[in-house]
Amino acid sequence: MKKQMILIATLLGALVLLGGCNKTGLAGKGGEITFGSVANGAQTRAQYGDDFTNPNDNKLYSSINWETGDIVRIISPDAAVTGDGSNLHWADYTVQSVSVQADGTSAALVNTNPNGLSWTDKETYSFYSVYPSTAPISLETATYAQVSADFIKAAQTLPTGTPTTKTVGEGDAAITYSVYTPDIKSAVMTAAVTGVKESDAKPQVVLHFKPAWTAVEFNLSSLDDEIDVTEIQLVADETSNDYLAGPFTMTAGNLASAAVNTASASKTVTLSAGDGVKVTKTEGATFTMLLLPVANTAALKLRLTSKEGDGTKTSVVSLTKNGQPFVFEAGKKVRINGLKAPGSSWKIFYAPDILDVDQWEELGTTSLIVE
Amino acid sequence: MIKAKHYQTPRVLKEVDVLLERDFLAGSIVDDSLLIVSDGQEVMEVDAASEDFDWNNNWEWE
Repeated sequence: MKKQMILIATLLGALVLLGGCNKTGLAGKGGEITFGSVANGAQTRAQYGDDFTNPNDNKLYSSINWETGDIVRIISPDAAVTGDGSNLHWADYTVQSVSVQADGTSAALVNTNPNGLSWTDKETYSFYSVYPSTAPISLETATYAQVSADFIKAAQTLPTGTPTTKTVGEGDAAITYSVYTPDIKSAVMTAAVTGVKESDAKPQVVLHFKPAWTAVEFNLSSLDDEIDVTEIQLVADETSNDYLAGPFTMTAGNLASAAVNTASASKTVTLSAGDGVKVTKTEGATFTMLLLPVANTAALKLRLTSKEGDGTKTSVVSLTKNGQPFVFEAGKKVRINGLKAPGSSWKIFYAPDILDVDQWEELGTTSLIVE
Repeated sequence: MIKAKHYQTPRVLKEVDVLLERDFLAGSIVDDSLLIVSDGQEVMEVDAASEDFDWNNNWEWE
């Protein structure tokens, strides 16, 4: 047994020496042998999580969480894959060790292929990244790190599966919403970091991913009627240059560079609720729609379609703030709280003094048929 | 005079299979140099019923 232990120890010592002799890039963890594994199956699993307040800016964020097995692509004009002679300037990395932090969800990476990017002889390095790894990102000099995306569709549908619930308000004002969390597995996130030096403290390459879409979360109930909602639609002004869905390009890590392919873009996004989602005064629904990451200039219109008998009825409202167009800021989640669908009932009030509105008393409701 | 006794244990050689990971030899930027953070999505809160917006009182039937 003692002889066996000496032999194995000698062999391991030789391997450590081999690791220390590598001069072309970073040695793996002091020479230890790492046996990486790649998760099979879905490579894109990120999803919305809970809200959190970022301590760095005290702003509210909706978390977007990595899952082990997610794959990102990292490109660099400065680093290269040197271990296999390919000299490629990109490599795919698999997410490992996901950790929820105070300012976001972090994760370590392991290169998906046997050889990942290596340090070369540059003084500083730039890294650009895209998620999912299949999103096209340019390696051409003139358009380096330009991402081409076409995941924001004019026709969207509610996710399948049972919705979760949340309750807002208390007592008689409490509303319980059925929350339909959107599927963002195909939604693109990008990151960039420049000026990195190999001599910086580890981890030298920290990539902060931000979503390349604007989200609109509608928290919808009704004033009192039961409304069977079949469709929610946002419509951009026809006379404006605002577009809400379609293909676009952007430089990774730079949302302000987003440019819409207007020839193929749409000024309308329709979120279908399938057979209908019922909302009442106390039971609502939370829908989320994805829009292009470009701020609108003119007021959008919100159109709501619901069932009425054998047909449907539609109502529309112009989305303004203090009389001006409400701007859906690029890349953010606009959470619309307290939205009430209009009902069919007309309320009858008794007014002892027609000029004193505060003294009006509600007598009841009725329906009117307007021909 | 003390006689020393000499013992010789038998030499045991055993074949050991060794697998070398290519990544280990290639010098890649390995996981302790790379970190990704999903920053999440900043939330803008809108109160549809507030005076600033008043969306609930401005529906029009089509």
